Amino acid sequence: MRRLTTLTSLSLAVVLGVLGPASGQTTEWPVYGGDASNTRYSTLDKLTPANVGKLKVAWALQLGSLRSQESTPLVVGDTLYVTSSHGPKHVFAVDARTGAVRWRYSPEVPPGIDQFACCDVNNRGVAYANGKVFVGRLDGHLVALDAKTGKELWKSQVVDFTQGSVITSPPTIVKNLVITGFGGGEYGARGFIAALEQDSGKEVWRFWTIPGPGERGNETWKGDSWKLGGGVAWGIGSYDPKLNMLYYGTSNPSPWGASVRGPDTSEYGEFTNLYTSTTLALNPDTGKLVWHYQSTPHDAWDYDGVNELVLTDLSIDGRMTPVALKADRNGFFYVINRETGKLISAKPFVPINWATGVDLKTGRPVEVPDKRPRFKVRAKEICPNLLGGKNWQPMSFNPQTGLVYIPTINLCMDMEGAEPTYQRGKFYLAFEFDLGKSGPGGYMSELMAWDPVKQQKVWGNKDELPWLGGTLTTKGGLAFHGDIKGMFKALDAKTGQLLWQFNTGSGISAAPITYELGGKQYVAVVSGRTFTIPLFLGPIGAKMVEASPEGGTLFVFELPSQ
Amino acid sequence: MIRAPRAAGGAARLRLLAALALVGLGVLVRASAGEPAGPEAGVLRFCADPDNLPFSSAAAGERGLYVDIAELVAADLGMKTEYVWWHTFYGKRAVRNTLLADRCDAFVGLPHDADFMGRALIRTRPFLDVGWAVITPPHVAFARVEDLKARRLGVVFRSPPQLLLAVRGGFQTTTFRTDEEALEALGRGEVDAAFVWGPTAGYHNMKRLGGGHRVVPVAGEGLQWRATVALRKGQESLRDRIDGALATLQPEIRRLADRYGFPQGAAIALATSEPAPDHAEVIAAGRSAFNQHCSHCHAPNAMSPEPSRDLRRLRLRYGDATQEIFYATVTRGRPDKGMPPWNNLDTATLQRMWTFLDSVQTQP
Repeated sequence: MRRLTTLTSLSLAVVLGVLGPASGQTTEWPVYGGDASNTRYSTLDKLTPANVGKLKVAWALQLGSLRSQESTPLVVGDTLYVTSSHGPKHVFAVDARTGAVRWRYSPEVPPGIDQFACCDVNNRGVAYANGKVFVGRLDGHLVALDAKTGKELWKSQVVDFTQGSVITSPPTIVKNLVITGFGGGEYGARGFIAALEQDSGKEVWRFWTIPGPGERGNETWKGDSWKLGGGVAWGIGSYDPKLNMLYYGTSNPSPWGASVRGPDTSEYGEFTNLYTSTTLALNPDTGKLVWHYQSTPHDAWDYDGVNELVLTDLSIDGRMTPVALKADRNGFFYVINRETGKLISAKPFVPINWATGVDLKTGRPVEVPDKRPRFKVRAKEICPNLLGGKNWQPMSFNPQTGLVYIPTINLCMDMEGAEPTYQRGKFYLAFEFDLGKSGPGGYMSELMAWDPVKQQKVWGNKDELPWLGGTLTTKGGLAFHGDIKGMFKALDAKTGQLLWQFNTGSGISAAPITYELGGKQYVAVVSGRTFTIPLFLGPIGAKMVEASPEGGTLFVFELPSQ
Repeated sequence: MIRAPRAAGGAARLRLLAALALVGLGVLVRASAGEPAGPEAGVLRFCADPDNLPFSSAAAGERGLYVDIAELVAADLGMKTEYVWWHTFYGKRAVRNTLLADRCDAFVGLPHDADFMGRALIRTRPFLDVGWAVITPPHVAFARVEDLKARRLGVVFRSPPQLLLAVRGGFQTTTFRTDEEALEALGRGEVDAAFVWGPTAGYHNMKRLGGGHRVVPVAGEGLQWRATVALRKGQESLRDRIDGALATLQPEIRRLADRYGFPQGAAIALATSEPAPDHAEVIAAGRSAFNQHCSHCHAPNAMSPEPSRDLRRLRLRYGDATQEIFYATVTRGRPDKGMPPWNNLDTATLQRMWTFLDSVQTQP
């Protein structure tokens, strides 16, 4: 009977955990972003700037794969769930106190799947709900596992991966649904977001991110270019249970060469290519669009709009306003009223030169015409480069400091349109590019604390190499993140001062988590350097490769017992 | 059985180098009579020329490179071999009467050229480059064909080098009827260099000249060929199995080719009458094509920091087989490694890409 009681209280905690920022204290990490709002803020406060310097490794778990580890572990009850890259090659359920493996799920991964995964064979983790663990796989399937045994309960094909569409992000849990997108913006895939029943894996609704003929928005595409239009939702969803709204960002349009999709100019008129590089608010019960905001209309830079939306309430002009925050690839930090979709503010958070600002009336960026690459016309030194001012590595928001902690990138690029040729399952870019150009100031990345109300930087730690890891922030006044060298760092959330660091031996891209068990606060992070990103960056990439070897290890830290 | 193609009469006209007695008759000799055999019965039937060393021979002693390869492939597939001997002076006729008539399953050494015999044939990956070469005694130093302008050069009647040298002008050539005659003249010191079919030159050098001569492939339109194993259309699955075996056997094939004296090393250009395109322009065009099609996996300008995908290391890895492996990999892909076949790229684009890649190879 005791066991039963524990289970009941656990599932209660889970329900509370996914309710978002208003849910209060939780000792777990029940969802990718910490909560359904993706704040990556923990109310745990046993670790503070005063004692964090004593953190020691409690245990480590070898993930069994190398290359591009991007997983955020979940902690539900006393079980930690973590995935490795490559499929995932493994999903582990381990004792969150010791790392003792409870089960391991190792799906068959089709050989040669690399061809269809633009940006490596990564996996960002699982989702949990009602005793089930949900895993999106590179082969386009979503599976449900029994959280206790790892047994596969059902397996549903969401998308045919041979069109260049792999699933790399965990799905979003809403009520009895599990909701996912997939990749393919580099392969001419037409995006959709699908909701499946948690119990059966049956598809309940599907929202095409590119409207078909007769639907509103289809007229924003030249000819039939919408068919291969991209706009895939390969990232993370956010959910606001109070407004009952689901938020997703969509990728760049396909191909990168904009002349295929509309006029080859900054005067693109109605050819905005909806809903690419866009924030979508959907009704999660029906999959119907509530509002949308397009950050990069008629994109020509591969400025995906997939970066996660962090939901919180901010005092805007003296009124508490429900907002969604997004540090976009295009270099602007957006604050949007998440109820209405109204753009509140947009300011550059990294050096940018492709636009001078965002017109708050129209919501459109004010482009600098000679920074728009065109067919056989090279645009030079465009900032940021296509990795963006921020890439997928998650940011976090701390309501105590009021700051967002962003792993930013400071790189620039040359780009030029080329002849498009579509072949199923192959890159469909119609572009030449040179991405390996460091941005103004000579540094390549900056861990930045950003005030989303004033829309300005509060502090920043610059780094000589790009590709910082995602961030975590706590009520104890800390911010955590890793870097490409494999250093895992604890910072003072107010000042950015480095308080502690640990060398994990391989680059860290993934975001850390924290949880409490048996009165102990743990911090966990997955280490394993990005494999493919350096390939785009020439000599800068060579430095990234030199910075650390590939790896795949989960490290868990604790304070030593008194 | 790629043989020296004549300049006149089309690229794929094949020429016999010896044993003319049975020209055109076609002698069919089953190695073993009786039971019907074939791939289903675990027997791989190869067609080969009975008298065409260093490629193939039905005589006791050296069997020739193509027969050795046939044996290796069959062993790798766990199959037995059977040979159908047929003279190949008239190449297409030989193929029609043997392979296409279902007298054998595979023909080692047909050109990797979709135009050769059209769609009736299917081919494996190329396993070897064969072509024309220039052979010189050790005291004749040269780095480019131009360096041979003051020398007495032997050429073969109606061979592509004869025409190309004539078109360029300024070379002193003596014409011989056959490769053998040119090589004999070279041995007697009557000429300083001979432009002959590369494998013949290499074999002759090894057998008759003590291996002391230098044999350098010459490059240009119609001068170099890529040898494949050809099968009948419809035998795709067998082709794929042979293809897999060839991939495994590539180093062994290279070693065997060396043992028969096949020339290796970078080819020197034997330019055509057309003005050579500016090398820098070709490289730039190749770089552009590479950046559009390959750079998202192999890095812009081929400057991949990951050694496993760094195409600047091709020559370090594959040595003289580099160009061959480049073409085979690009056109057939490496699906198990996530590389699709880029069979939509035309030959000219591939050549430009190769020129670019060649220009950025890391020096050993």
